[in-house]
Amino acid sequence: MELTVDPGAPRCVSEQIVAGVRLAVASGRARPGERLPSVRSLARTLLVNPNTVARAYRDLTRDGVLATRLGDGVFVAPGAVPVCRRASLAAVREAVRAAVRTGLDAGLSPEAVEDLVRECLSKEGAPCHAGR
Amino acid sequence: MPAADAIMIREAAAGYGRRAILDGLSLVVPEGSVTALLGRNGAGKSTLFRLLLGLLPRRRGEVFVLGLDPARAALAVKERTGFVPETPDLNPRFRVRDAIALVRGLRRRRWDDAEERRLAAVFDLPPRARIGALSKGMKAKLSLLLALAPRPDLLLLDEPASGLDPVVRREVLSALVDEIAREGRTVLMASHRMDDVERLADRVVFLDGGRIVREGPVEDVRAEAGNLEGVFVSLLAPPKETVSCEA
Repeated sequence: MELTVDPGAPRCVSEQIVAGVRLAVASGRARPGERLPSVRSLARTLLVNPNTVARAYRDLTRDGVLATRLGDGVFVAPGAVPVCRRASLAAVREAVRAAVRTGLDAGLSPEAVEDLVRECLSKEGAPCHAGR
Repeated sequence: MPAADAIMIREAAAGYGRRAILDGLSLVVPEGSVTALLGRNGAGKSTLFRLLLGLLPRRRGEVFVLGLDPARAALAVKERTGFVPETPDLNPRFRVRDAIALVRGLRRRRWDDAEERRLAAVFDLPPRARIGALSKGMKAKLSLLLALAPRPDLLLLDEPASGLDPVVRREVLSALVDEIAREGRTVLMASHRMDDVERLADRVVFLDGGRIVREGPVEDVRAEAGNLEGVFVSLLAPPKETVSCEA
């Protein structure tokens, strides 16, 4: 599981780790049963305070995304996928909302904003059904 | 005096000559925390370190470091404290291995040989090189090794990663992450690099005008302005005229 953090971002480091794990599970890059790096090892990779990683793991465990097997480390929990999909959908909705607001604030018409979304989708290679 | 505070300062004043740098400063650094000390250039961060190490007398107030008064027990404080100054204080004529041997001798009661060897290897320090010939990055790493190998109860870092190239900076941060993971240690670090602070600290204190003007857990404080840099600027920048743009 590839995780990164950006210390100056609006979300704090621990929330970024939580979001990164959720996204990896929602997208299928991390599957239930997969083992996560230890707190210490992830802290070294990301160069962050181990307490911050521990807090992120704790929050993810509370939300049913991770599970601890005694003496064996931390794993993606069996029921993690739907939880993470819901959380990721909410995060994407927020990002799209921000993008739409930027467009409208810049004086674009709703149709122009919609066209931009379609254009971006098609550039990502996603099939785009012309609705109008 | 409270055992659970690594540092306890009450209403302290200190300065040079007639100039007061710290004035009415009160600060508590809880044991086990990683506290970042933030402030503009000249705010008194380095002066505070000197006060904690007993290198500068206080004019009033109380100062306790690991339960000891540094003005009376400077040696005992230094014995349990690792200090990495902004500019490493190393004799340029010494070879690396001799500088290490010297500090090992001074700190032999607490010195951890395995940790010395481990850090010398990960930092890739050339044992026979003279300190005067070392790069700034190598000097910073040597200075950090000398502070960490005695396994200090309290680590004081004055701008630990400023002015280092990205490779050395990662090595230094990585060593600090390992140190933070060690049970029971307390860290107080001054830094202008807000990204390093967000990575490493769990608490922040802002120093301005000789006293603490804001303190709290990083996550709470940063939320006030989106990130720490925003809080730093809104708290410490002088008020400016608003720039307006006439249509």
